[in-house]
Amino acid sequence: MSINVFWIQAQACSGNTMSLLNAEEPDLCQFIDEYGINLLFHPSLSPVWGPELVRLVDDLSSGRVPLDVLIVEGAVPDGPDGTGRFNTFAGRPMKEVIQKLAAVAGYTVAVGDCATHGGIPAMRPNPTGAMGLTYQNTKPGGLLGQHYRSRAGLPVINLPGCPAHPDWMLHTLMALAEGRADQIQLDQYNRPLMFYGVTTHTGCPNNEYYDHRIATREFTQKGCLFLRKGCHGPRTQSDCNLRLWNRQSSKTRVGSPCLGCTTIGWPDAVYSEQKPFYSQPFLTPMTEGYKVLPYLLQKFFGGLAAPSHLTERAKATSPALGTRRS
Amino acid sequence: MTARTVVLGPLNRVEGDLEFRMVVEDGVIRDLHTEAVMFRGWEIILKDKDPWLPITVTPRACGICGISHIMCAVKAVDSASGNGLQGTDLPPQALLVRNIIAATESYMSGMRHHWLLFAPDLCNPRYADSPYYPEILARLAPLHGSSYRASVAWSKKAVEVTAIFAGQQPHPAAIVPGGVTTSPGLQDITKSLGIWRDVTEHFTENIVLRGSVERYLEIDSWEAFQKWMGEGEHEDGDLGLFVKFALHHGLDKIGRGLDRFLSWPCYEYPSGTYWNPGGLYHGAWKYDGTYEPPGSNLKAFQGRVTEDITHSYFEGTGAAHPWKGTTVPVQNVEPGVKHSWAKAPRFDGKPAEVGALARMLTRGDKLIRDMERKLGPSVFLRQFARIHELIISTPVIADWLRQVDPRGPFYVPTPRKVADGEYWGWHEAHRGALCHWVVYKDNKVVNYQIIAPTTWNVGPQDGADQYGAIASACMDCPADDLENPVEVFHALRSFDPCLVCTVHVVDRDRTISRFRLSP
Repeated sequence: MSINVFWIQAQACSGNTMSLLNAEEPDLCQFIDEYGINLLFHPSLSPVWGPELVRLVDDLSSGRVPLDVLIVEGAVPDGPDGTGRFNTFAGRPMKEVIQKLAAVAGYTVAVGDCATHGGIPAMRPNPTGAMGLTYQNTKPGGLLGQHYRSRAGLPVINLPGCPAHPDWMLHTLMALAEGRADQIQLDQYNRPLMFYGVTTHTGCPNNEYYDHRIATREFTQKGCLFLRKGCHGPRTQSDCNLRLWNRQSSKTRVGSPCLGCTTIGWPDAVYSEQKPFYSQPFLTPMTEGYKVLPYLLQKFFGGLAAPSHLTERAKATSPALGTRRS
Repeated sequence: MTARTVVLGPLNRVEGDLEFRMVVEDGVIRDLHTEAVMFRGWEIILKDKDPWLPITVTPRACGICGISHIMCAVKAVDSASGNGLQGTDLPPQALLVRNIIAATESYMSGMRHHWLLFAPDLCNPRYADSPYYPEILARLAPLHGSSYRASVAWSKKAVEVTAIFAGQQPHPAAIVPGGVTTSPGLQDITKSLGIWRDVTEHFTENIVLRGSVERYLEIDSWEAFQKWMGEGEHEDGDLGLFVKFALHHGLDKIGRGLDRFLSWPCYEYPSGTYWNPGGLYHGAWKYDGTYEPPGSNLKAFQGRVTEDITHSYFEGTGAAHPWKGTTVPVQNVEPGVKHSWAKAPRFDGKPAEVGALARMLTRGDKLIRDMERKLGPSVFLRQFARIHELIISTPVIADWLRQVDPRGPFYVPTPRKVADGEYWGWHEAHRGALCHWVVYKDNKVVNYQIIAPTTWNVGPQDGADQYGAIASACMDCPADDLENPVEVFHALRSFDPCLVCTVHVVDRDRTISRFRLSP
């Protein structure tokens, strides 16, 4: 048995494709072999092009060739003036091509922020009217609408992230290939809980500093990035710090604040000129659901309880800071 | 025979969406325009935003060489924040770690371009009678060939080093104005050296060279290369096989292009020198083989860039520097004199080719300069230079790793306030010269312009009707077989075109460039 997969890129940067190529266990090529994946088309990987590709899209849309899994990478523009012609495919508006394919797809998967909710192209003032498959920024709807169900009865499976981790993509596909779609638990944004069910903060090696409110005041210095460097880790759902990237690391492991990119509506959902990346401290409450007063007390006492060895260790393991020339 | 209009598209294995429209008569391409079919409006999004935002936003223009965009964006902020021009006043360790992060991503990009995007065309049925065909298929067939798979496996291994220093690849956030956020420990350095040794041995030496990097580095001329080919198993490596195949099938005689090459200085050393010194090179094949370095006045060097809008869908005519350029779309987008949403980048008013070949020629690489002189630029030489760069940069990256000192400093505290004015940041993406130009006022972005490598290569004609590099290269290709114009594909893909990166070029009517190839 083989599984027909069609991967289409709209307003994409290929970042999710590049991320997918980094997949380990299984390697992408191995996965394709072992699961009989019939990769009908992928813009970077397939030999198919031109008239043959156009015919293929027609055959899929009309049901002559069954489409088991449709994967969309990139945002879909509505502009200019609702024509969708800011992005075309063989002369047709991309939005129409994707709508037709989604209508016949067994499963539809949105990889990355752009396909999920529009991502950076949808950032204010959203010059092209970019949207994701089921969201436009934080607004439900998008190209296919919230009520969309694939042939197998599932909503669009959203795998946000800029980019999505290769495991999020490949293990979702493997679960589908293993016939275990019904076991993929989705959260309220239709993100698989198996990847988005913890905060990015979980597993961050700076957690001790977080607990005792020891802040990184300058980059490269050990401490918590949430307090003064605008880290979105505790407010963001992803397993980046459990799964690690490229088998080695994560943003917060190299002193970079989490930018919150798995949040529906990123970047506008978390970014504003008053609250730019890399800087603004978060006060309280952290997110909805927190009880403000107990939270503040916990933080206050956590800070009071900071053991002296922790401050000393932060200092001992931090490199020197440079000084400006002038 | 009457002229026929042929649409090639949608094309695959170029990064981004691209279609070709050619007018062909008697097997000769009379007219060709490329149509990029996607527009996102990056510069519009950045306008009036905070001066650090481009560091997060611009790399997302391109998930393949995103770090090159971060480098450009950060260098512009550094220049505006008192960290020296392009950040050259930063601590040596900060520059070193930035270089490692950028170079390892670029290394991955080179591997993926040759083996995943370019080489599958060698499996084209056109070559079915080639004596090399069985071996080519066994190694390079998409998804199944042994080298195709090895390049997937080892390119992702190479970016593990990127991740050790930058947290993740694609789209890390570790390069910031003032240096980097990371504070690599001794164990990070040793781990990276271990990974790099594996990449060198298992990919570069066992698969590409079938021999040692050390021996390869001794080659300093085309004759010396041929001598090397005759030693041991060298001719059976992927490089040897490619050379034999390319020469046998004449890839050294098609897609010559402009023979005028441009590269930006990058990979800074604290001494104020560069691993890639950049500059302008007029090839020996068509010109006189003269090299002009950027010199000490870098501002003057970048000041020689203009963007011509004579044939672009923007109000006005002629050329202007990116800081001064205007981007006011015309109301009438019917093809005529104006027929493209791309501006045509020019250096001293003339088009130039950018990419790995340009880097090797401007840096004075002995082998590549010699080959350019004797064989001329071509599809073959462009790909050869790409692989050559991978090989010669392998020990350089290992050296850089050995120089990292965990004591730092890797960062200089840098205020978020930028000085008003005009700035630029340049770097070499794998596919060529990338530069960001920005104007700040009141701590906000007023104007942001990016000229991506593909814009240089794929850009349209200018006011003087000069062709861009890809158009020029396609002129050299036969178009006898319109169902399967593999030569045109070779020429196009040898530039590693990246349409996702060509951020401001595209649009509504989808035509980004239109070339008139013969009168």
